Amino acid sequence: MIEINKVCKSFHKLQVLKEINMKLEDGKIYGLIGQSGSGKSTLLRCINGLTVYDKGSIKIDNVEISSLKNAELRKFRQNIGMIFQNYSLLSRLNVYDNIALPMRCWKYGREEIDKRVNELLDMVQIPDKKNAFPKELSGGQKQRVAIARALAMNPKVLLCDEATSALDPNIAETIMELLTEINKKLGITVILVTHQLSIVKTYCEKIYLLEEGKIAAEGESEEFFENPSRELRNLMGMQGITALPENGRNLRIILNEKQTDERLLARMALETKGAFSIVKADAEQYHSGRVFYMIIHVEEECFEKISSWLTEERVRWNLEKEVLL
Amino acid sequence: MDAEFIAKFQKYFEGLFLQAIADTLWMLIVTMILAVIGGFVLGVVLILTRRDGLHPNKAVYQSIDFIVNFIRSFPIMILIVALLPITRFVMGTSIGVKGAVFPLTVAATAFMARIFENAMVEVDPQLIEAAKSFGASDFQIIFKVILKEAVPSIVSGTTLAAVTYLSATTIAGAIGAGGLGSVAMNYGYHRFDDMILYTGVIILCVIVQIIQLIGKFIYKRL
Repeated sequence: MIEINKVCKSFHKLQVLKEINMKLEDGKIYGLIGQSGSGKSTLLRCINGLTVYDKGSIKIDNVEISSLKNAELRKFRQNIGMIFQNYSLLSRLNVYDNIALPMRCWKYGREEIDKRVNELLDMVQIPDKKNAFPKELSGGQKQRVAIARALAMNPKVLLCDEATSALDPNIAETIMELLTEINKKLGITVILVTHQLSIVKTYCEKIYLLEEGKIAAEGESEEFFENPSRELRNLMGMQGITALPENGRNLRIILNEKQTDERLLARMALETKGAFSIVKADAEQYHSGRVFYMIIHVEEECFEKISSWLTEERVRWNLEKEVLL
Repeated sequence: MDAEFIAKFQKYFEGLFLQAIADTLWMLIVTMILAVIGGFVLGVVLILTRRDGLHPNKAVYQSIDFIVNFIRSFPIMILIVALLPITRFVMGTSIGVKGAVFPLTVAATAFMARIFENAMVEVDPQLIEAAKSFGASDFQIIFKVILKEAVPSIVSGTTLAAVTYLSATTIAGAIGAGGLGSVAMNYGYHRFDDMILYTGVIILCVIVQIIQLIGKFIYKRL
């Protein structure tokens, strides 16, 4: 459990973090989003003590980070792995030696290192690249090596600082699948800092949105994106805007995986005899499952009929307002 | 004519140049070994204490930075002359090969300190963060990460320094130390003996080529 309490951090006169409060449970995947300069990377670095916060407290399993000094802090960092946007591999060491580096720093025996490195290579699915040098690897493979290295000391938490931002979208997804798999298998807590909303949407269980050093919005991924806050719409920019018909009512209907099989629209048309048209429809993959949503436009006089039918059918719906930025 | 030329060449080569080459190489090698050691220590201190270093310390950084700049601002000939009293005190003499090694080492150490600093500064700060994140100590970060990554630029920097300080040994030679510089100057230039002058030049060219070859060889083996 990571408890972050009223954490503040300033660089010179610039206040980067303003009283951040968070409570992160073990074994979940968290997303930290925000514009560049919103303080998300700084917050991440406060968690493993790379950045020293000015005020407040961060406790990991009831250990206060700021109370740890030099050697204690170094030892504690074994519990927290970290990966970066530019992979941060030693270009002059091969894959094996890169992954072995943390264990060599902690003076592990040769056999133990060998066993663990091979295990990790299998876990990140690049056992054949054991002797390759980073420059011979693709971006995705490099990030796999970095993940293996971050996991070498069996950490409980994995911090990812824009870990997929430099990768092609499909490669980024395979890296996220790998992280999800590791999260499930090892029960490791993953904290993802990124500006790629699609990644956060699909793979994170809970999301925090930082704006100018404050947590501006937070929520479980599905509700967070289905009912986007002003701050989230701000971050999405034009992406989240749909031009809606002006008269009548616009309804957003949200269907879970089961409901999509129920021929709902056809039945709605037959049973309510109400007229409606589909403005937008889309499917989203969230951590909690697949969600299908659409925005339909109904005339004022049909609204009552259709909305009560939807409620009866236990379909989630809400009124969609024109997005104002 | 030909036979006469060869005989003269042989006489000078054996009597003059062999000793001069030995002196020059001795000056260069001693200077470079000491400068690499001294430059390494200073470079590491600079890297540690700089503003974004592992142990920022403005006073230490700025004083070493100033001293390095101060030494580097002297043309080598002026430095040799300016250091004469200290050289006499440290080495017991201010002339000959022994007297030249001290000022050359002082200058080359400052040069190498910059080479080390620049090479180590180039290492990606995120790589250092990564090393910190798995709990590496400062000592391990310097030796296992920063130095490891910086070795190629340190090698090319050292090659550059070796060539630079080879020419410095010849300047030292011209003002009192032995070696190829003094032979080319005293026997060649002042006695209008082109053969000696240009033989000296050619030998220096060969030494430079050899230094570059060694540098390249090590660089490639890394």
